[in-house]
Amino acid sequence: MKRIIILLCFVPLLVFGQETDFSKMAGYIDLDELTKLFNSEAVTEVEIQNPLLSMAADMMEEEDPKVSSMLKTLQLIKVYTFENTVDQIKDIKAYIEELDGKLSSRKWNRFVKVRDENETTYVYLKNDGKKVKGLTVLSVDNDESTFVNIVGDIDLKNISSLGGQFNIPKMDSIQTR
Amino acid sequence: MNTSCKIEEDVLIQYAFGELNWLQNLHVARHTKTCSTCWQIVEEYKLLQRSFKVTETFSCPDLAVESIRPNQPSRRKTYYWRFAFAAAVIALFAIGLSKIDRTSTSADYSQADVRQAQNDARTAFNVLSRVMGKTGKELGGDVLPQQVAEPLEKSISTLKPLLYGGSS
Repeated sequence: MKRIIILLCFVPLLVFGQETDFSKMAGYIDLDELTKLFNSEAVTEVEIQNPLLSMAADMMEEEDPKVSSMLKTLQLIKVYTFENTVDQIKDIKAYIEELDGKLSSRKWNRFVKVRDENETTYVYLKNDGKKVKGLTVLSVDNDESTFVNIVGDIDLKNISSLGGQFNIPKMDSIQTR
Repeated sequence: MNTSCKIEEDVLIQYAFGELNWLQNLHVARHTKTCSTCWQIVEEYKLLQRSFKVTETFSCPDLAVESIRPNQPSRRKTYYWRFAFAAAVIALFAIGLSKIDRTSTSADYSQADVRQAQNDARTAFNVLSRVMGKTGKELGGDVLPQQVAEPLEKSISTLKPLLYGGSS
């Protein structure tokens, strides 16, 4: 009986005391080293996590139902954009290649790869077998570097349907070079 | 019991066990000298008493004693246990409260925070679309076609050959 009472004491800790540890989620990648890589502050720095994401989604439900339904299933959005200086580009590209290796070893699927003298962009999806759990974009060109990590249940149909709203190109065909 | 005598067997037993006063003792002693039946009864009880005396005594293990008299020895233990239990509960609540304090809930955010989150989400999708749009141009087409998005949910790996011509 006493043991049961003690175990019951732990229940509130388990229910209320758990912090969401995003780093253990399948779609999460650690971008903390970015701050060391760039001397300047990020031009764009977005980090939104649950429950704020859900609350934002609720607020947008009438005004923007598509975005709202997409946000509801997400756990974390991280976006960093930095302005590049010429001497940094080589280091950033090396960092991206290092991350590319890490992501590949963690079974992220790279489905976009653009590499030329002006630009390097990799887009990855993390799939747990049934759903897409993470989206990561690593991109660097002569002007700026962009890093995106979206964690949660990602509905690619929803992202593609955002088309006009966020200037995402219409997605009804595929051409790769 | 000796039916022919007026001395009760209980009195004979008390005599045999030495529990009578001196006057009663004298009376029974006199009687047993003349009454063989009572003498035999007394002798049997004396023998029984001797056998009790020679019975070996041994110390019971603590657990056995506790099982016979559970209340007395464990009372002190229970007191300490309760004290330890109360201390544990207080400690757990303290830890729990400190954890709860660090965990963000809906109540922690104001309307302004939520609006800011909305704007941030839009910014995030704008950045994402800008990169994807640029990449789409580079690739000479669109990046996430409807036909690709749907099967991607089922199996990304099966699409790799389509996207990369057999290589990943």
